[in-house]
Amino acid sequence: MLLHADNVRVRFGGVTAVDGASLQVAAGEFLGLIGPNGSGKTTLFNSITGDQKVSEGRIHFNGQDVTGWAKYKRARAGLARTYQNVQVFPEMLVTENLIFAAEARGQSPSPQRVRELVDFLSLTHLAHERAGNLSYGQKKLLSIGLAVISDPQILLLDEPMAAVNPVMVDLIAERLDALNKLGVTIVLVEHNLPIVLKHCSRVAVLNFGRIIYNGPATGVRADDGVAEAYLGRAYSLPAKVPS
Amino acid sequence: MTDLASGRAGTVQPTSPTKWPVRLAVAVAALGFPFVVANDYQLHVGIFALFVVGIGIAYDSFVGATGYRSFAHAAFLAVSAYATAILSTNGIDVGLAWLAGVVASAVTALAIGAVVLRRVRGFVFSIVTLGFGVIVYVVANAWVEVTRGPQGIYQIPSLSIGTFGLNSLTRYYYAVLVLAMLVHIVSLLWLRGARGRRLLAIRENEDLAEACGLNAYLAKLSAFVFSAVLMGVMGGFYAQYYTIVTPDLAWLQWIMLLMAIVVIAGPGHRIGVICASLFLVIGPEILRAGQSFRELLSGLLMLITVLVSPEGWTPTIKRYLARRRAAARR
Ligand SMILES: Nc1ncnc2c1ncn2[C@@H]1O[C@H](COP(=O)(O)OP(=O)(O)OP(=O)(O)O)[C@@H](O)[C@H]1O
Ligand SMILES: [Mg+2]
Repeated sequence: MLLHADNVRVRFGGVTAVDGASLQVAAGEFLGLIGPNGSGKTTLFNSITGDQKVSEGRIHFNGQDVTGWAKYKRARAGLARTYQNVQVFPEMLVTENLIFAAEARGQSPSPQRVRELVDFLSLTHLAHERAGNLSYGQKKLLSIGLAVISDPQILLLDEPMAAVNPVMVDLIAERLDALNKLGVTIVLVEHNLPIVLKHCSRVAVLNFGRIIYNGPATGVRADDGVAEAYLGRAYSLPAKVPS
Repeated sequence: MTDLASGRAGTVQPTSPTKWPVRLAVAVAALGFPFVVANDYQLHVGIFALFVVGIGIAYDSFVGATGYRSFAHAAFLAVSAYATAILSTNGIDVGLAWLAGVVASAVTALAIGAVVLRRVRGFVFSIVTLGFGVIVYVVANAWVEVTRGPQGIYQIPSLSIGTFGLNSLTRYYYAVLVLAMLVHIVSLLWLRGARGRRLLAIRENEDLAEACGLNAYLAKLSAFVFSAVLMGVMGGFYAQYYTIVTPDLAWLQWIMLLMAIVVIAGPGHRIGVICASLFLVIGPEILRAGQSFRELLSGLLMLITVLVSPEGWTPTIKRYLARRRAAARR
């Protein structure tokens, strides 16, 4: 297993945001992580990357127990992520953002590499723009760029498509597929279920901090527990997956 | 090409050709100043102004680059001035004492930074460093056997190399001019390229910088110590020029002056830091007012800055000039 979050528990005072969740991700996988608002998806990500200390449980990455590691050390080991509230360095140019992100992990990217990534993110015409001047969707793309420029082993994406227009959603999805084909393992948190079901081979579902479903994407809709978690007993998930 | 005079750490700005005449004029004015002053007092004001430019840049090398508001830097100035004073009045060569002052300032910053920068950010960092400054002030007052307490250390000798000694105001003027230039250039070189980007990233979003894999603690600590080294260089000069150091050096007026320079200029804007330093020294002199007026002026200007142009005046003025140039072209 590339990543193994083992029985993770995170408490905030009285709230148990993650309640003994375990998640295993194999190298090369494209895993979807879904669950209702407040179910602990972001907090689970935070505990994996070191943004949040766990109250209990261990995080194993690449055969090493990284539970006590500083955040930057985990990043250097190959764990990359984006944040739900999109984050870039607004005063820096788009290219500088990417150059910094590579340098932060001790690499010095060639201008060629930076240009290729800028193109890949469809930001070519904005390469020398201040990141603060980008649109929300463009910032999201750039934040993915920050995570991938240093060739991470695993990419944790926290709602990269939320509040982004449909054309941009397709673009991001397509880019993620391309990255995955290049060998980057991806865990995608996303409320847009059709997108998740279309791109992810396996899906894990969190509810109240517990994993209530973990299996093939094809089985999610049929699972009673998932339907109940999302919508209450009276409803069921939409049956059709728009292509 | 990076513009050395105005380039923000990590950002690349083109050098405009019109800048060279301006630079030449500045160089001529700086070099010719001792020949046009009416009296020694004016020359002293020039020396003091350049000294403040030096400490302003030293301070901004940390505060402007990282965004961390340190209140400890006046104490670094004091530590270095005291070390220079104590050693040189006890028979040690002034040059060595000066060097020791720089080392003392750096070691102090390393000790403080190693603890504080690991744990706290923002407002708490400011308060903790302020606490450290107060401790240095109290120690300077109370440790009478070493610091001679409130009366301070006087008759500090000044540097002489061979037959050339710092023994006239004109020589002090050129010495401090060289020092200020040195501090300016060394700091710009140090902040260039990848290191500048690292610090800018910390200033912009430290959590994200760490998520990208940056050991922010090390980057901050090295910037803290580096800026203390520059402070230390200026502190040793202070001791030799004034020939007296007192605990006041660690007290609030100095840190308030540094703070005012950076706030008024806008953190990280070198050209603004230089102008603000000169203005806060020379302005009150032109109005023939004393130090308490400078403090009043700094306070007032800081207040106005925060209300009217919270990023400092350099970006505001630059934007205004750019608009005017654009309008003139049309
Ligand atoms: N720093 C914090 N302090 C206190 N409570 C927190 C904190 N972070 C998260 N929580 C709580 O933990 C629970 C899980 O939050 P989390 O952000 O992980 O959910 P999520 O699944 O990402 O939700 P969403 O889909 O809305 O992003 C929520 O009840 C939230 O209020
Ligand atoms: Mg979330």
